[in-house]
Amino acid sequence: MEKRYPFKFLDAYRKEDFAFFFGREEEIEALYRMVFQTKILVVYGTSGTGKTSLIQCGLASKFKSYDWLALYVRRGSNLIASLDKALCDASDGVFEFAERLEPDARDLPQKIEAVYRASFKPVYLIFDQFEELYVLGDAREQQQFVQTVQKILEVEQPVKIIISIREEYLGHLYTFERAVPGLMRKKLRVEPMHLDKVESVIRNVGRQAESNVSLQAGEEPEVAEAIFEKIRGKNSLTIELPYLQVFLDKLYLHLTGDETRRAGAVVNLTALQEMGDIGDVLRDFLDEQVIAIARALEELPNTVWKILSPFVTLDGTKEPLSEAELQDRRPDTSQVLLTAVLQALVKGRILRYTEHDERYEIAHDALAKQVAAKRSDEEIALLEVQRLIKSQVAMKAENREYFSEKQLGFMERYLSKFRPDAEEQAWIEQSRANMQAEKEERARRDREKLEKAAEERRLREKVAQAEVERSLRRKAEEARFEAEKQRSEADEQRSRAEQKTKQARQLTRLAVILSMLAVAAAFWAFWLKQKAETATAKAKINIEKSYQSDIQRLELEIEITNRNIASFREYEAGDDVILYENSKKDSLSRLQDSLEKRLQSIKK
Amino acid sequence: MNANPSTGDPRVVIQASSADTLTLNVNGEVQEIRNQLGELKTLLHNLKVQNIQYADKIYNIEHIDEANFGIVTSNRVFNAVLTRELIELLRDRPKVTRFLGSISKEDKANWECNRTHLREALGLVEESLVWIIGWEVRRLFSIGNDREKGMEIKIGEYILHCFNLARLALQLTNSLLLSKLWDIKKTGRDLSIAHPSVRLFFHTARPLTLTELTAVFRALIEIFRDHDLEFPIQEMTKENLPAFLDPGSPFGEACARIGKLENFDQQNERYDLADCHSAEIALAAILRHFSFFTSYQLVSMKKVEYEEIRNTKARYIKDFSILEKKESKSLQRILKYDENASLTYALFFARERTVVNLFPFFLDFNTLTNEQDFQIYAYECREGGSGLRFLSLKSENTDAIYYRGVQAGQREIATEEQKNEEQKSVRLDLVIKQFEDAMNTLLDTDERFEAAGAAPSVNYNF
Repeated sequence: MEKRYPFKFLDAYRKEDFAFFFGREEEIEALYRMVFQTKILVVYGTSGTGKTSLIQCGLASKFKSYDWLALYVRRGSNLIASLDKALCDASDGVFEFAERLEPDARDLPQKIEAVYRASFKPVYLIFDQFEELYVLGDAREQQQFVQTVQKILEVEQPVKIIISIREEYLGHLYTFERAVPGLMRKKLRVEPMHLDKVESVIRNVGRQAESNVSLQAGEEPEVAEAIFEKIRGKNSLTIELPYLQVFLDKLYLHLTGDETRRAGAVVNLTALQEMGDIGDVLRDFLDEQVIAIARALEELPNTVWKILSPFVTLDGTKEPLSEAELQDRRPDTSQVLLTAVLQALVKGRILRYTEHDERYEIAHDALAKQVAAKRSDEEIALLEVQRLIKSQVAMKAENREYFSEKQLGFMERYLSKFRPDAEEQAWIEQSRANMQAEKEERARRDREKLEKAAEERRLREKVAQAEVERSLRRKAEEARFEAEKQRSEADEQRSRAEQKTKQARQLTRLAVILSMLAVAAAFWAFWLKQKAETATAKAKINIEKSYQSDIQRLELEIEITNRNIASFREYEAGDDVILYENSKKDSLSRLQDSLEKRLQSIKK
Repeated sequence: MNANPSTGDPRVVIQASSADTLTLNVNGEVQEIRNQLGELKTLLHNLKVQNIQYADKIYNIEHIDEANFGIVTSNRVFNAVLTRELIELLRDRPKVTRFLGSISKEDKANWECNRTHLREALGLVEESLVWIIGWEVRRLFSIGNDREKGMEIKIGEYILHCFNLARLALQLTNSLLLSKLWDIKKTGRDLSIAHPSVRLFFHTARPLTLTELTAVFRALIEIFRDHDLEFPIQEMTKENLPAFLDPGSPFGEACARIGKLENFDQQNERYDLADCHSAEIALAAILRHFSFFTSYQLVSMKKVEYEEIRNTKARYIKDFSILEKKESKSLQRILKYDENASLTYALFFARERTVVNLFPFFLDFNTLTNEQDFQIYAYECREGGSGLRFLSLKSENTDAIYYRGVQAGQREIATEEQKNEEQKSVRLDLVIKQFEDAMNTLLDTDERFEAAGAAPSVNYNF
């Protein structure tokens, strides 16, 4: 059997490395069980716990080839676009990937169907280093991805989603979980390795027949423990697996000096004691690589550090970049040198090149921290500028804010040190134009203010003058009015006098007429008086006559009445005097009284 | 059967094939013979050659027979025969009709040899079959389709899955028949079912071979025939029983052929491409006789809740999943409020009003363990005196379910997790108890599974 080098350095283990993959048996079983219990699950853990290896090697090895079609998706420049590309590539030519300005997931169900029909294998979409969506992506991309996952979970083909994310970013999944409630129902935490497991890994690798590295017989437990002690920090009970890999690789090279890694090696305690601890190993490793590359290319190490710097974010996490993107970040470095350094960094396993999206990235977060620590203030400021620009341009145009004058001032010094892309450049230009426009607007407003003040002053004076004129006019008017009034009063008095004269004349004429009429009336009154006296005399006679006839008639009536009374008195002697008759008698008595009274009156 | 190519032999390659002739290249010399197996065998015998090559495939002449000779000389790809056979069964379905209509006249005779047509047909077949069969057909399609896999591995995997598929087809049909018989016997009908094959089904300590499963199938349909019982599904009638029972019928021969292939001594013999073709032909013949697999669906009853509110009529809330897409319908999870009760944890083989509960011979393990999605288990054999071994169709792993003797009375629980665990244990016990009841009812026995570990029980009278 041909022996193989068992360590992966900073690369993740893959299905074909399963013979050397130890220490994760429980996690593999748990993950394998979970895959059949849900359509979406989350694998999380701190950086360097081996999440990617657990999925790519441990879980993948549990499946037969006809039951496992894994599409590993990293964000690249956009997660939806990367997913789209992975699906198109796996669709056996049914779909061609077309780069779009705005990634679109509308035809995703058809693409998944095409991928499934190309192989008839259940599809596992594995989103590795998912934290990149939150570190490098904007809210829009995050929202789009959530919607994409909702769509994927509805497709009819057997599709499962596995999300691998660093533990410290787990909280970012909150919004995601609200949209996909089952998201966190099945999750697996990948624990850092303790001594027991590390021992088991080292000893099992050493025992593997395929491995060209073995442990010194009789020293296995001591060697395993010594390696663990070299790698763990002072206060830590666990180790980061990439450190273990780097350490073991350095140990191997220390033992064999064979860069091809074909020679056999037996690890013993003496060799281990000659090695420094992991901090030294890692620092030394990176420094050595950088110095070696600089020397080979006849450049300064600082040049290599500067080229490495853009691959690490300000937060110390990895940022994958294409060669073109790197060139934009380092316009002052020649294309030839850039390519040469990249190649050397890949060869030295500091950078990893991913063919599917043609990007380079730092091989591990552990190295990213070292690169971040090497940065100068100038480099940090440059990255801050780049982040500032990216953060604005990442937003939709309608939501962006122009850079302020202060920000543009800060940027100005660094803009020559990297090459913003067309959109970024356009936004800077627009911000400048906006700033200029704002300046001009301010000046215009100042000018306008001054003009307005002058105008107001002029206006005030004009108003005052007008007021004086108005006052004079008002006085003149008043005087005119007074004169008019006096004239009018005089006219009126004259008119009244004339009228009185006229009235007096008329009254005189009337008095003459009246005196004439008075004489005529006196004559007429005398005539009337004579006539009235005659008529009165005649009337007296007639009245006396009428009185005489009345007296006669009344005396007759009295007599009749008396007769009636007498006749009733006769009845009074009888016993049967009826009431009616009594009343009649009373009425006659009353009539007699009345007649007598009337008679007396007439006589009077 | 030794298929190792001996490098010293003359090299015989089929260059072209027509209805009448085979054009061969024998060590660089072109020869033409009649397209007949006998003539080819004689030629190779005379040349003392064991293997013959066609395109990139190498066949051992000993493994070529009249049944697979047509495939060898037509250079058909994996799955072609099976797919054509199944598409024929589905030709009345609108989608299949459209597909067949879209094939050009020139391609009509051998459309399955065209990769694009074959792929479309594979999709149509897979989505039309009941999930248990469809899932295994998918595996077969996947293996056959894999262009990166080495031929030797491909042959091994392909033939193994032909056996698996035939086994599942027989197991599913046997489970349908057993379920029906169990229900009939429960009504008090006096039936003699204790056939040795049926007894073996319930007592086997290892998965039954294809030959044994075929014997169980025949024994069961004989019981139905002899007692004049109504079959669980309309597609099985007295008229088509001879096709199943006659060893000389195409079905009988296919079962015998695939059984024989399965019984190869794998220590000393190796399968070759011709065996793959033979297995595929036999499998196609078996599935043709179980055409009802294309018209039934699998329904997993995830949960049935009882709801009765004061002064209202009680009702049941049924949460169930339909596991496969038929024609335009998509996969469905359904929540139904119903006044009629339903069997819990059931796995129904259903079409309209015909519904057969496959539990506990087939079950949805995720339903019993309160998990999402579904995971169909198929009964394989006994696991000691207290358990049963099931095959997980999704993972191809086997899993044992043990009887724990958990008392489903009243107990104190401290947490939700504890409640779930308790419920799981009770449900998993039900699997064994149901199997026990089916076995005792059908075989007129009184055999009990032993509890692997008893749980305490408390009971209050309220």
